[in-house]
Amino acid sequence: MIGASQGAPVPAGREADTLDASEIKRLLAGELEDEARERFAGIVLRHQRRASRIAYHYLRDAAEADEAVQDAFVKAYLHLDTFREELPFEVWFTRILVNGCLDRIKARARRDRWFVPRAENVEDGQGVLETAAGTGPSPEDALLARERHRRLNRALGRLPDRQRLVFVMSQVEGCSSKEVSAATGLNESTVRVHLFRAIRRLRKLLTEPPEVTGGTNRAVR
Amino acid sequence: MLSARETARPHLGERQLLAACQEGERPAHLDECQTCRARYAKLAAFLDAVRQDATGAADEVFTAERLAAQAAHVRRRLKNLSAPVRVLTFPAPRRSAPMVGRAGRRWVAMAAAAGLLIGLATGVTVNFHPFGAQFGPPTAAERAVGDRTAGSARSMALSNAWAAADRRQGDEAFLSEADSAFGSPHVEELQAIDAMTPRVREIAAVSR
Repeated sequence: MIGASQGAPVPAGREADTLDASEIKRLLAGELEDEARERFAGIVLRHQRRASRIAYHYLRDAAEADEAVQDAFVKAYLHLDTFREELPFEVWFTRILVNGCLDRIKARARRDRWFVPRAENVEDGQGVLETAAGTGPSPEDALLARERHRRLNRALGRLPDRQRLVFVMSQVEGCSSKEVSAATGLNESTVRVHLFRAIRRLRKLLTEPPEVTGGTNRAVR
Repeated sequence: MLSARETARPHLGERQLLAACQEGERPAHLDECQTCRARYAKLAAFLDAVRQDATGAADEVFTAERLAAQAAHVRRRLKNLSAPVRVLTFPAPRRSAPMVGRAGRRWVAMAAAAGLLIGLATGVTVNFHPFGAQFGPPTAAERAVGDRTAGSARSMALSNAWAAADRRQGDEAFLSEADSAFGSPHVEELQAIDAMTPRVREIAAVSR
């Protein structure tokens, strides 16, 4: 199911990953590191958008998500010899990414225990200047879309970490419960329960009238 | 208006609807029950909307430029991994002088021993006392100097003692004056306590 939402034929993508991974392993064994890196760059390009989405929704911080994705790719490259072909590369890689994100969340919790928590930069109006003069959708559409994104981000932010991760992987990235289970280490039935709860909660949160707080709502009116 | 078939069967639960949306396990009930079909359509539309919004929200932040920069970062980090580690040389002890050979070392040892012997012999010959008057009897000159030194030390000690006695007497006089000035309390209630409190002059007299 992974990659289906992006329109790429699934077996081809997976086969390409598996082929690339095997080839990189062979190149690294032959100490042809430049070629191995070039080959790995292809894998990075294929997976970075999806990985960034997952990390972003999981960590709720763009800069941290960026770092987490980079770390995950570097780690995957370093431990490519442990990759076994029976598991899809993306599942193996997602597991590395999720574990990295989890470590970051723990570290953040430790940090926040001692320091004042940082303000989330999800709603910092990023991209306003870029879209203002752009040739994309009309300003009204862009504003409405941004408002919807904000609401969704807020609602996702109110989900527990695990529920959010499962929801993003299942619903946004189109992974099956089995794949989410393999990537997160959770039981398949647990994945289903998390997903069900996440959807139920999101429906409640997103169908509620928006809170009248802050400048965002004033701007919409 | 529900048909008889619809009322006969219970509707699908939310979990079943979700499974139908998520895993593609479309139950036969959906084809028969209009209510459940509507619920299914509503849930599917909601999930589609959320999917689009979630994708849009992430893609708004992770633009193509940002992803290109991310890929470049990954590439650079991988390149740095395989780059040979630069080892900074730790400062080693410098070889300032050329090594002296075995014969040279022997000559140095012999010169040091000879110097020691010559020094001892010279010391014995000129009666040199490196530790002063503690060793050997003092000479007449030394004795005269010693007497003068001892005399002056004695006089200094005496003058110090007198000065100390003067200071002590001065202190006592001052305290006695202060005592007598404050001796008689003006408050009647304190007179009994004052009578019981010893005076400085009394203590001084006892200590003498």
